[in-house]
Amino acid sequence: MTGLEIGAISIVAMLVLIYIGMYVPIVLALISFVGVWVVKGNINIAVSLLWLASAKTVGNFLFGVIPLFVLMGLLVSTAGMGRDTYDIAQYFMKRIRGGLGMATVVANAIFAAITGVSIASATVFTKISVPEMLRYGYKGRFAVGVVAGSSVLGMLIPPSILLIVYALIAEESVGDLFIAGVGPGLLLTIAFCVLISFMAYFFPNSVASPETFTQSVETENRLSKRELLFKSVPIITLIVVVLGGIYAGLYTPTEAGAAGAFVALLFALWRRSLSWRGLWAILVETGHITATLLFLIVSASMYSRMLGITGLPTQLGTWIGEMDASFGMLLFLYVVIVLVLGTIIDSVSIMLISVPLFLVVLAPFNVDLVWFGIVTIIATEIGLLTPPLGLAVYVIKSTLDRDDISLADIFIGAAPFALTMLFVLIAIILVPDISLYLVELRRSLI
Amino acid sequence: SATKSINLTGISGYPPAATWIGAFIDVYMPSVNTELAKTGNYKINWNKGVSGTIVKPRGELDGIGSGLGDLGVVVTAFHADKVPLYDVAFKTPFTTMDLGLAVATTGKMESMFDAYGKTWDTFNQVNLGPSGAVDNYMLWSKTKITKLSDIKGRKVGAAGPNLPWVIAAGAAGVQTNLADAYNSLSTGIYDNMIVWRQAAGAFKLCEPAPFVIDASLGAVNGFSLNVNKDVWAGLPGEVKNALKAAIPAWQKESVDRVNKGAAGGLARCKKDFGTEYTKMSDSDIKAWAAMLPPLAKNWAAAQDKNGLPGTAILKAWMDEMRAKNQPVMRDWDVK
Amino acid sequence: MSVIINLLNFLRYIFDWIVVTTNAAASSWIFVLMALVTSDIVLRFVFDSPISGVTEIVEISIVIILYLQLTHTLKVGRMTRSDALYSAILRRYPAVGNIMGFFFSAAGVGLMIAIIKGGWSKWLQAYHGNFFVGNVGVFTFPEWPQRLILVIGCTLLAIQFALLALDNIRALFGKQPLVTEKAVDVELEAAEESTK
Ligand code: NA
Ligand code: NA
Repeated sequence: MTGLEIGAISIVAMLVLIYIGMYVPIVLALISFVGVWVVKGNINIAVSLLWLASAKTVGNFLFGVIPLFVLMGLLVSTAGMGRDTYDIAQYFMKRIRGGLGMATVVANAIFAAITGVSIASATVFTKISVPEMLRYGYKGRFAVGVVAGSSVLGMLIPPSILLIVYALIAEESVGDLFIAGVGPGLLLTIAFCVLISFMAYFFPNSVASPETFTQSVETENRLSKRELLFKSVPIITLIVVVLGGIYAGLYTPTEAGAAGAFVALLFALWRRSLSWRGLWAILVETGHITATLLFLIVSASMYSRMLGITGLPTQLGTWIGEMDASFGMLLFLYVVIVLVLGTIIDSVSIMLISVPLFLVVLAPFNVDLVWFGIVTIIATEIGLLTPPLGLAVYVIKSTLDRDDISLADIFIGAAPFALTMLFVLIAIILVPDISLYLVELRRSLI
Repeated sequence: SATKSINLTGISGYPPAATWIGAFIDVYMPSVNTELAKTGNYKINWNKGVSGTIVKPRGELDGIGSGLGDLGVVVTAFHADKVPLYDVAFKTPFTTMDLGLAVATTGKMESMFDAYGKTWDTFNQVNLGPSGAVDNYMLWSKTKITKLSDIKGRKVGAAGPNLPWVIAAGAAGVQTNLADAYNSLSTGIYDNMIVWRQAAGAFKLCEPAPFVIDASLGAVNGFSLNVNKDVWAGLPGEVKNALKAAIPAWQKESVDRVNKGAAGGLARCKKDFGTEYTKMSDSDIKAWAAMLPPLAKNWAAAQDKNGLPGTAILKAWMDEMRAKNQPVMRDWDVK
Repeated sequence: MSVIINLLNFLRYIFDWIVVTTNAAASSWIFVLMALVTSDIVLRFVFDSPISGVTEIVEISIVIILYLQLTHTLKVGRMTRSDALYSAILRRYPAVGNIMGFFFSAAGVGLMIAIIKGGWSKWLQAYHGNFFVGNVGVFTFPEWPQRLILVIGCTLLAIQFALLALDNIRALFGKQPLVTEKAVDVELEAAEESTK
């Protein structure tokens, strides 16, 4: 069999097995094992592939970013910084029509700068801003939709576990990817706010009851300047320690993760929001997320090594040269594949399946892999909001724990936001500078 | 008679931009085919599994041994624990700045001592020949260094095997790698770095560190082109001969690329970033060499203890360097 | 007969204890890692004296954390899968679902055995050959512990997969699963605490 045939069969087999519910890393390992066995006709080489990838993929300093950033994200939530960002955003936004919705979006954008996991954003803001919006007469569907939609900012604005995983697969700089996420993150924040404003003026009934817009919204406990400061300091400190440290070049992303986690720990202790039991729970959870991600990366490495052994990369290069497919066509195909996978597969798995393959396909076109990373992240994150499996939506449902808001309500509420993401994605594809401007600026500065 | 096709996968964690892999893809593979074309009995279809598609950097040794790749370039400099006999050049700095000679002498050691071949055998592979990428390690810095005593107290980035050199000169050694170096130098994680000219040019390290001092630290061999043992056993004699016959071409090309890169790299650094080159005085070089602990004797003793001919190799290496009139600053086999 | 069942239950107890313990060790190690890297940064900037070997320690730790934590992750149902369709099948056609589930876990057992087969000789080779990571004269650490932990981690994972496969078999005959520990979503808990 040629590399191309094995590659094609492996993809179909992989999708079928994943869809019917086999553990994703086991699927990737199994396909790789069988693939190498078939190509080499020697089961021992297939065994070696499994061992080599298991032992030699993640034993690198850079992979320290995973446990450390996850730990930081969980500590940040525990320290109550999600609540703080919402209070701050509300302070500035509440007088605008649809302001509480916009406050949620802006709070998510700020919170995104100190957390790397969208699930964290979704849980925190379901607890904080949904009750608030309902109290002021916002529609349930809208309230949960806003939280679901804006939670994707958590993994687009740096730091971000998805950007880290992409950087590790594509062997690109984590720092460059982080900075490339800033522009698109801000654009998406603005786009969401515009969307909310548009809905509030043109479809007010889908946003809130009529009284909500007539009364001047005044939350009972207005923040004093002093409280505002008290709430901003930890957030700003963390942003400076983590992102400032990376971009000033004081330390590597791995070290930034450790420093950020340490500072978050200090704030959590200072605010007395962390018990011994709570700390232990956070460490165990960090371990679970870390093991899950690392095992996926290990298995994806098996898969891409298997593709290398079949000679597929060499063959695909010639094949694409011959069939003369345009770059635009291939990119379109890629986005469609990622969106389709996004309906049912989780974000990291989607990237692990599609990125290595398309890195090979797109290699002849000299693509900027940082820009390609941002395109990948946004396309993948749309999947967080699409049925039947939309992780952000599931998290909100389980956190909310209310019978009057169904899973379908959340999916419907999130739909305008998913659509907005699609438009932003197109904008980012057409105008690469949205993601690359800051990266090039930084490259020219140092 | 009809030409028989043989599929071979060559692996490396490094891309063709690396001098030794560029030479592997551009010169070694075609040379093997040219050699085979003389009779036309065999032809090799090369699968170019480089750039980390099959193994990551440092994974070549296991990748070739296990048969994931049929052949490839092992970076011996990374495996001091597994193939320590290749480390002699790292243990004898201030000895030669002729990379071609360091590579040739390594080849000579391989034929003099069968311990080399035996070591590879335990990793299920056959070695065809060594090569290297470093003609002369130099010290690059943000502020000017003119003499040995200037090094004291500085933070110097270096790869692991070079760390003992700078620590002996009173510097704080920071372990690093080429990929991180530019950023680290720009931002002051360290202000100095030990690196060879070709890499300094290719990675633009002379931009943040525009001063360079040449202390004749010297050349080192760092690679071995190996074939999986089972694959080797299954190859026809003619193909084996062709794989061997192309080795000198690979060695010459990789050394040429380093030397060209060294000259070009320094010239570009001077032109673009005003790099200032200083040669350390002979008395300071001698003093630095004398400051070092007996790296080579310690290394040789450790090999002897493991039943490997460490002391004999060290003596043969130094004898060869003295015979070739190299600027030997310390007789490492004596003290 | 009851002697055998008691023995099996006892072994089961021991196994669960090992899995929880390895998980606890790895979780604590993440905290140590954070402290170590932070200290390194502080020492480097404030006292100009970096800790030697931090790079190597982190590199070894990542591998160790992964393989010590993996089994518990599977045990509490956190290993990545897309189970929407599978859950539906399990509800509508329990027999079909359980047979599928059996094969999913059996594949896990098989692959783990392959990794163990590959890794066993590798850890012995590292042990007898005194392989190390790091650099002589700076920092060195033996390579065999991480190779051995990979083998141990995969062995535990193989056993856990086997237990899951056994649960599917039991379910086919209408018996309760052996694995009953419920996944506690700590992140939700942490988030809840933060909103108090
Ligand atoms: Na983020
Ligand atoms: Na989805």
